[in-house]
Amino acid sequence: MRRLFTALLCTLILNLGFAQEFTVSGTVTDSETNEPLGGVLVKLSVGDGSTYTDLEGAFKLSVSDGYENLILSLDGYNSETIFINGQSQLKISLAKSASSSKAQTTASQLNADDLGTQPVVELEQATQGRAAGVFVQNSGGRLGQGTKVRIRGGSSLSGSNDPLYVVDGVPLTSDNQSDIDPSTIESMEILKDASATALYGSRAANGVVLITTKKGKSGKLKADIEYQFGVNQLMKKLDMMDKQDYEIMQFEYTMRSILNGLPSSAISGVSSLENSMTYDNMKLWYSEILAERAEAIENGNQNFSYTFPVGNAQISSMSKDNPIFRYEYDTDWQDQAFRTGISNRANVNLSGGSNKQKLYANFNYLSQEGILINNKYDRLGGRLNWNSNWSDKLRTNVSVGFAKTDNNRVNEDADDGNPVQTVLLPPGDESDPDNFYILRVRSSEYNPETEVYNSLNFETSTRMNGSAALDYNFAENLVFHLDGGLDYMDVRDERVQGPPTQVGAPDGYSRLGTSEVFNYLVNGTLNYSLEMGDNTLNALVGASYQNSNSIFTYREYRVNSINDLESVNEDLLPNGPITGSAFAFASTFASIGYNISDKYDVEVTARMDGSSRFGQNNRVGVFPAASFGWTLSNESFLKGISAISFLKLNASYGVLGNTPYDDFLYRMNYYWVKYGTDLGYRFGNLQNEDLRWESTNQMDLSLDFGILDNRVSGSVSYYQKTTTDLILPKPISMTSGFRTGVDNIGEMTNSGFEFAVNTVNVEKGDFSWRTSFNISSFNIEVTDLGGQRFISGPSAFLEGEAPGVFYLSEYLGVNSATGEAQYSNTLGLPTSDYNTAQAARAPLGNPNPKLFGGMSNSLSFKGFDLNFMFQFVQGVDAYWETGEIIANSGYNQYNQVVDQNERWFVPGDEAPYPVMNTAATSTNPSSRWLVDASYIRLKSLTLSYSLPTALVQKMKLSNFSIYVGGQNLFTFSDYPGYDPDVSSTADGASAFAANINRGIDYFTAPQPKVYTTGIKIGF
Amino acid sequence: MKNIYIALILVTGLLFTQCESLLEVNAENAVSGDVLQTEADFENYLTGTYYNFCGISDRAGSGGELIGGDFVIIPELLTRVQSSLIAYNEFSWQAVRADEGYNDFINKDIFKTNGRVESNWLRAYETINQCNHLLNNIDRLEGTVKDRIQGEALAIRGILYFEMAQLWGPQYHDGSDSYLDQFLDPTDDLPAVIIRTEPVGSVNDIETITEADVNTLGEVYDQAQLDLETAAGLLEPGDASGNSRLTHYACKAYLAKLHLQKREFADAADYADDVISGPYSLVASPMQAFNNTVNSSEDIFAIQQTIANNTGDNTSGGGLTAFYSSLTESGLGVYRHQRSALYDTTNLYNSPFYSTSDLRGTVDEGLDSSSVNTDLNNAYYVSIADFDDDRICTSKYTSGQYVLPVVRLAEMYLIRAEATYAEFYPAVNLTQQVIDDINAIRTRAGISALDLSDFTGNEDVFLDTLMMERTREFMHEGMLLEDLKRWGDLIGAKGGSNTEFDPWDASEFENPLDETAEFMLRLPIPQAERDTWGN
Repeated sequence: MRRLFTALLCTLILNLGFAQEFTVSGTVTDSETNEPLGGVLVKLSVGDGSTYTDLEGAFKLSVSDGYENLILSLDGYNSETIFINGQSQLKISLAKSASSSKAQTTASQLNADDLGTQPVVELEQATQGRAAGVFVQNSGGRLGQGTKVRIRGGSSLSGSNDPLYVVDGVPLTSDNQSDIDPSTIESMEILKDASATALYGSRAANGVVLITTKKGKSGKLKADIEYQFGVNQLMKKLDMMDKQDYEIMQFEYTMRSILNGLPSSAISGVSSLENSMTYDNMKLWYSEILAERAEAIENGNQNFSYTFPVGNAQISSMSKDNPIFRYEYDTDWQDQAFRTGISNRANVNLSGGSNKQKLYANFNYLSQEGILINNKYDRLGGRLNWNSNWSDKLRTNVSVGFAKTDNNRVNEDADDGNPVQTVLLPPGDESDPDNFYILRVRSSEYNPETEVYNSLNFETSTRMNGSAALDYNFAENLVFHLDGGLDYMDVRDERVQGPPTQVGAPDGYSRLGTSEVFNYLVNGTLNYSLEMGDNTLNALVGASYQNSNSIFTYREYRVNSINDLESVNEDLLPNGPITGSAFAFASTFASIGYNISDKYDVEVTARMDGSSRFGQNNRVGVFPAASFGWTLSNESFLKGISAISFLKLNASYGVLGNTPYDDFLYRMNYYWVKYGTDLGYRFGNLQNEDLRWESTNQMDLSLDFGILDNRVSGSVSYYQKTTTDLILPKPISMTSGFRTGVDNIGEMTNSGFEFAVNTVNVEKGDFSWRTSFNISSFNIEVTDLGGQRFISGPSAFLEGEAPGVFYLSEYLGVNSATGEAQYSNTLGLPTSDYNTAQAARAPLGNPNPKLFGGMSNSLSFKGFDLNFMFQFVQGVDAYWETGEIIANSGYNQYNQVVDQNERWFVPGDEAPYPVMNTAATSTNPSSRWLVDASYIRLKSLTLSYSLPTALVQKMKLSNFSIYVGGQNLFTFSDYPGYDPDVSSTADGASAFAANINRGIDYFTAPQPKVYTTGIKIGF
Repeated sequence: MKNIYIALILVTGLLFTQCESLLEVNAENAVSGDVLQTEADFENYLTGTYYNFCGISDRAGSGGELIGGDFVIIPELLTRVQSSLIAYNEFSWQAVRADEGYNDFINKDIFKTNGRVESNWLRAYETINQCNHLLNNIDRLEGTVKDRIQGEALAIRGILYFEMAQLWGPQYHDGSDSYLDQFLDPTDDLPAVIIRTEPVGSVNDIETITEADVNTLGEVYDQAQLDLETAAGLLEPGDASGNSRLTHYACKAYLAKLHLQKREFADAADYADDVISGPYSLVASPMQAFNNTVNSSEDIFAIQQTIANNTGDNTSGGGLTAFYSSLTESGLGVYRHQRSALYDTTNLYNSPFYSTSDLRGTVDEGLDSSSVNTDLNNAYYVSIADFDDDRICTSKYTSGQYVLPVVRLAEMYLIRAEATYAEFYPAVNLTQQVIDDINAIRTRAGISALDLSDFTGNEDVFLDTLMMERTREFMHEGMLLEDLKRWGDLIGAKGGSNTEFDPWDASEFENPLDETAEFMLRLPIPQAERDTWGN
């Protein structure tokens, strides 16, 4: 602190030393709120005179004669140049800077208010529906397990399509952004086009999300505290069969098994019933059988018999304990898997400082219970930002964020022990808590509860990211900027499956993985500007270097605790050390911009990107970009049209590079393996020393507009992207020891429209109503795969189709004579032979939406604010893979959704669902479960009330508000599963898998419906 | 202005920092590039080659267990009959617990798209490629270490070419064997597999393969023989008991097997004789040859396994233990033998006809789901997966933590016996040593010793006795296929029918995959491999 004051003192003395004959004084306020602005740099355009405004926004500055220009600048505000014109008292207001006014940016801006009160764990979720061109898909209701963000649909098939997250200038690695508490974010800017992303180079091929955290404001120490309480609930329950429906289905299962030639129990003559097995008949027979059984039990008999009223069918000497007649319980399994979760969240923001030294500190705490049993996420985080203006030449900025999370996780969607899978259990059965939650009736069968309650799945992480930046003005028009950042993460993943579980039997099975990521970077730029009359020249040269290094460890063994696992002798563990990950980027770049009379902007950028992911010959790629902007509203021919306040046309074209997802594909790599207890090398991949950058050419046209005094503003854009040299596996002769080798093959294209508009609908006295609306569409296609096809589950990459297209056998309904499911064969004709149909798979659905967007409204009246946001996705397909299990005519005796009662029973039934097939050994994936996943959702709603300023001041507070709100409150959709906004991807899946398998719902937990209430107090 | 210059120098400095060294990063624990530099690297590389060769499971489900799994299971399934008629049924196979590709071998109709064929083809070449990398750089080493590593790499490659020749090729016949001439056209010129002796390291090194590049059966056998002979010369004889690696004697044992299969009986007898005079000795009873924590005294080569690193068990789902063991803690109980097919069936060929005193045919009754491998005392036990008294499981491979015998001394005795006996076939050469060799195996199994006089005037019958002894001794070890091929015998009843199945007749196959009439239960070159070829 001492040094800080010394610095302050020096500046003060410096200013005094320049005292001259004329003094100008004034106050600076915010143009919108009229609040005084402290810390504004006020300087003469010529000479050395400068000062800062004090806490009341006042300044005093000695000038030579009072006919000079003053330049006022403050971070986050537009700079103003004021001609003093001989006045000694000035009143100046500064306007908050809107999105960067640079010509080339196609950016979407989100500010703190958009992000603030939503009870989201990950900040990616907060962007959903709010920015044009940004498609956000949740991985479901499991807490802290990832969200997919795709800006303009992505540009790679095998590489990552995740955008680059940049926090206060530091590009992050490894999903670290998820742990940044949304309450610490001042604004987010999403860069989409080639020239805007040119500054971040190859890492920006999928767009950039610039996150600016809150900064301290000058003034005395201000504290804001916020507390939020939330209740999380299941937004929708599936309509599952009840006990009676299930038992009839089970009864039918037994009889059809006999018809299918499976081993008979004590039921004979079933074939005589075949044509009478309607739902109603079976219901009748079953109830009569139960009556017979009850009578036998009453009479103390072990067995009972029953003669069917039709045919010669009989049940003789059936044991009363036969499971199919023994469903004595009535369980709603969804109530077992789901619960109401409580979440608590608090954060404290401290902000303050002098004109030159500003501090911001945040502490946040979140404790959230998921809607799934045993799912809980806790996070403790903090952030410290320190901005200093050491002099009018030197500014520094230090930012450090920290988060510690504890996550009691839920097993992955397809894994044993995902609680959502309880829906497939018989409603007439029950878990026995005293016997490891094993089912009481079907005791030998899988029960997710047994897995959940006898397992541990715990992840704890510590993450930090920090940056330090300095700006030095060598001269008024020459600014040197240097920044460095560090991003660190330490994650520990513990899993224990106890002896009663499927994998854990007989001794338990434990796994422990750790990962540590160190990522640092340095950036330096030199920015030169020159004003020539009305024209401005801007030139920038710079360089950046990023280095990321990750260390992983993993061990697994047949023991029943992490402690035991950690003490297992290294020699006994399977395989050897796990290879870490490392990469580096080194780039140099230069750009020149020229602005003519605020009408025309031209900017040309060139980058050289070097990446450690390529061999010597192809490390460096050169990526140029150019943009042109034409501010039509500054043209004289439009000046007269008062309705148009702002109109600007932007065009840009650029090339961006993309690296492979894996670090060292250009060279041979080996795994550590073990033979006996000896460590050895196993060949991992062939090298491809000629591997080169995937490159994306992107053209962008956009029009930014503001009409009616900017009451209506927005932008409309169109883009076209072509990615060539896609890095993909190419089949090679297996005599090389490998099926495939990576190479640059393939091409994809993408084009789309985006439209965003903000309107001030009403602004009258105390009442205002504003609306923001955005809608986007894109058309993405894989145009060339070198003749190959990539198929993964129901999804595929196919030439001429959208990436991740659903590639399935086409389901053609039910054959009413036999009840069998029919599929389209290679000739397009119906066949009941699934294997033949399987050979005729066709591209039938698209996981990429036709349209998506959102609309938010904000109404305020006196102290009341009402915000609500609708988010929508239209024309998108999903593969409801869950249906293969629970909407498949009683497949494998799993409980079914209730509409499966409309399955085919007897010849002639015109049924929507096929007959129960007890001989099925596969679920027979087909377009039967390909569904429309369009939806409109009331994503968030908040009503808040702020006490009037007078009252608040009386309470010696600076503000006081309370709010109630909710998330995911209503959804309008025909989707048959829980939540259309899901995509199940296994954790740690490769980028390729994440790109190809999208829009698949396999027991994916829905997002919760959340009710929140909170209080914000400012001191 | 001075400041500007400093800044410019700074920035220029930054611009030039984009030198190569900044991009030279490496990952923790990474093993990359040209890794064969030090002696330790060669040792690690060789260990990794054994890992592949032995088919240690990578738990990724990709399969390809080679000599630790499919090279045993596939021939076993090809020679066994599954029938709905109990009298013709030898075994049951729980298809749901195993890769569906195995069904093709049971059905004797092997599709080119068969996943098991593909994964073993792939892993064999992965192993061969590692051998070739070792051999290509072997001059970086010197002295005895060089000889040993070169010898072991050659031995691995030689064994794989021999095993591939047997599985992907028909019975070897160069036209000089009058016995084979009766029913087989010469096969040595038929395409079998591709010989690779140069390492592949880069995607850009791969030359387009055409059909003409497939080497003939004769060439593949020659390569195998050359590799094994060179290896035997490089590897020092000496005490090899407890050795987990291929030795001088292991090479000779494989040379004995190779010459036997080519019906070059004199050479086979010589090599078998060399091995028998080596450091090995038969264990006292057949049960002691299996389920050991270290090599037994009769293991010439055995795969080293641990509970975490093995060719497969109940957790990884591939390999011998997973298929053959039905013990809850170690296997999946996929393969259960029909009890009657071991002792008394008259409708089946190739039954071992165990007598009640044969220790190789005894059965543990009354185990339950909590039974573990140490509870086993007999050669078989009633299957724990379904407790069906008629279904029994072999006790040979009961846990993934035991060594897995690949070549045992017992085989050398039976090779020497067969090779001596058949050296001048069809003229037979039944000597006292032949009788002694077969008796060495019989008596320790608890059955009566034979006497030379038993066969006086009836020497021809001895061949059946000998082959029967091989069948008994090597039940479930996948050796029957080579025996049948060598002697042109029939498999048994074809699945679902009661007619005998003649593998020498291509018309027997529903899906003859090979245009030639000599299909004879060969594995096809995978379709996925052919798809990468040029014309």
